[in-house]
Amino acid sequence: MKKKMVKLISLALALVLCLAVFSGCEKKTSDGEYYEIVWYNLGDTTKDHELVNEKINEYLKEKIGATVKMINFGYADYEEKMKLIMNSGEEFDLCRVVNFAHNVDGGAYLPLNDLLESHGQGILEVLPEYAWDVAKYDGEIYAAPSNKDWGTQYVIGCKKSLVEKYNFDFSNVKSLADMEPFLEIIKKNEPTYYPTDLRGNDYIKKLLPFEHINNSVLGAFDLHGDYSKVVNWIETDVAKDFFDMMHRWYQKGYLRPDADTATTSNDIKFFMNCMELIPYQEEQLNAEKPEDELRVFINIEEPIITTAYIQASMQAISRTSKNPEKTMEFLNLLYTDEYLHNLYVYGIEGQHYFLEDDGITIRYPDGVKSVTENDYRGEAYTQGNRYLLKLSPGSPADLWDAYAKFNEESFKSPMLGFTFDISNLSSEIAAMNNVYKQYMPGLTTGVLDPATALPEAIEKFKIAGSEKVFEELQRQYDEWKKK
Amino acid sequence: MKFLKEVYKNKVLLLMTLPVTVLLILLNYCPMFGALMAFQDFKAYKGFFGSEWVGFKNFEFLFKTSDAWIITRNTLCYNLVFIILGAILAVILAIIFDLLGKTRLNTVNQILVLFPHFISWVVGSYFVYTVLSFDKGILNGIIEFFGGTPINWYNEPKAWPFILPIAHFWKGIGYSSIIYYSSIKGISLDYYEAAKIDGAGWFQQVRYITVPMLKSIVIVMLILHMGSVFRSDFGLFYLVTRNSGALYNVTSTIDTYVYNGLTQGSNLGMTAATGLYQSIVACILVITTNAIVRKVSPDDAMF
Repeated sequence: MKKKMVKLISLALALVLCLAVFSGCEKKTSDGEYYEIVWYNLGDTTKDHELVNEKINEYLKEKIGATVKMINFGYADYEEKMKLIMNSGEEFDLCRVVNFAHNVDGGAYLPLNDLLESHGQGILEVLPEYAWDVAKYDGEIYAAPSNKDWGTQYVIGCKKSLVEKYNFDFSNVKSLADMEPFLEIIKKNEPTYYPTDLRGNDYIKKLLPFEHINNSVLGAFDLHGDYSKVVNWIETDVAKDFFDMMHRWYQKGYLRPDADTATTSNDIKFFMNCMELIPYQEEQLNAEKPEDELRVFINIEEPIITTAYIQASMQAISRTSKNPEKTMEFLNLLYTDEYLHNLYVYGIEGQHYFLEDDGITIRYPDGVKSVTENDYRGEAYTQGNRYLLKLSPGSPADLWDAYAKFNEESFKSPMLGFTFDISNLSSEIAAMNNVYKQYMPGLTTGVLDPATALPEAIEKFKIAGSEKVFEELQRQYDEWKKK
Repeated sequence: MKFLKEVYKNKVLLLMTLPVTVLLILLNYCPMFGALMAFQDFKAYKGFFGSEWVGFKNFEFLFKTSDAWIITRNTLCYNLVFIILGAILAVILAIIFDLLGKTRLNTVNQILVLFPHFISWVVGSYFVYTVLSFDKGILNGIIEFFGGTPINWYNEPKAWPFILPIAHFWKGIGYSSIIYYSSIKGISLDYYEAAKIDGAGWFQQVRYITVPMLKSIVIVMLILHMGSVFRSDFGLFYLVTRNSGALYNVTSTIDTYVYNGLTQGSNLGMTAATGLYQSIVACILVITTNAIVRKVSPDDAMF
């Protein structure tokens, strides 16, 4: 009797195990006759996510005879999750692009040229040539950039209360170096403040006049010089002076002592930091802030449109998609259908937002102070046509015009659309990434003494294979230039 | 025929091990074919059979650095310290627990020592940070109180060969001491009673009964841990050090090196190559250690 029980139990256990394995492979079926587009996008999953998703599906069934399953990942783990999804070959249709060149090379995305012609005319019409250039790889389009502000301007932000207290005049400030006298005054008179909040993230290097080439670790173009020759930016005189200056600043105490490893500035009070701005963002950043947190912004470089910036918000169709045509139709709607895109970004009218009398500005329901408190929100810039959207509360009425003008006036990098293919250089790049992380946070924040650390770093980069990378980079760039 | 007879005789026992065997085959043996990926330029859409074979190219980056020696040395040395010093400390701790007997204080003690094991390094790294932070850290507070100049610990390579083992033992020592504690509990009390009659004090009891009885379990644990000597606790070396570049010479291990090198993009071939390399070295080490043990004291060898 006992023996029989043991037999039975172990048999049952074995069966359960086998079932568990097979049930993992079971295919989920979608809603009847409608094709379900699986869409991974960047953003938060809010309380009413499902509700809005259903509302969108109602509309889509009628419009293109399909439904969409919206799956959002937050900023922190979008890239990690997509990596897993794409590497496992999971079936899905649409996603926000990460690591464009790498994933196109890895074959994750579908080429879109024909699909755009047949099902995506609306997208083709809306985007300018240079935006398409960025989404190309080897001449073929692999993604649709979202239509929005593409320029970016690096600025220095200073605490308004302190600027007024000491009557600072920034009219002669043309670069970060010109800030030195002001920082000195702050250091001397304001012991509770750190003069700057420069940290060992990659931000500081953006204040230098270089355009950095994605994936290349150190490759860049001199923004004011020769755009035909790739330079190793840390070996230039500009960089050397910069490292020297940062080291001097660090020793004088203009930066926090743990500047190279600090990950947040929430724990200190500081006078100056660096950021990137788009039109009217200044007003938005200062809006609803207490007097003590207001900032004054100083432009130091002209606004520029770069490959990296446009590539940060593009949508691509997966190679595993079972119905690319329907997916493209849906994507097309996001660029052309005002109702759909507003629904996706702001939620249901009368529930998640209300229209003001002017007909273009929205307000949130009573009691909801900002969008982060709302029961639904979608990202406004990761997909589709931003210019179709209603304006968020407090935006100036001419915001979209200002964006368009900003795009037009921004300096368009001559290398827009060049993507560095590193598939044959993975070991060199991996080794260089390590050297980069070992030295660059310390050098850019001045924690390391450039007199000894800089030559050491350059030497280590060489051993890691930087020369080979630069040769290849220059060769690919020349080739791309010829086309 | 004999084999089948044997199977029939033990059919119930075999049936009982079936679920585990199935699990082992599915989760530990089937994925082993994935190791072949280490020799491929793996592309998800081409699949496992369609991807191009590239020989040993994926292994290159591990050695294509001036730091190949440093990362290997760090991984090995830290792990050896963790294993050997760890075993000694854990045994001492287990003996202390045993000597304290069954009091409420002792129970609380054990829980307190065990507790850090359940904290992930993500959280644990902030515990360490509260001690080492430059301006708010406890340690710098003490230094300043006694009139010293505060030290930027995350920029002080000399300190980390000590900080890392301390952090490691803080987290892990309670857990490993449990194994030894339970073996001590398994020692027959007759030995101790006999020793007491012969007039042995507590130290002599520990010296001549407890420690010798623990020898074989210590050796088994040692052999088992040898398998992980080429892998490092990623959380400890990446999160606790805040990935500070200034410390790389003393904190960079194979795992953090691979992570720092490959975070942008995901090269499955290269990651698989690292895993394979570590596994092969681990396998060799386990077999060697076991062989040495078999020579020195055959009863304690595992196989």
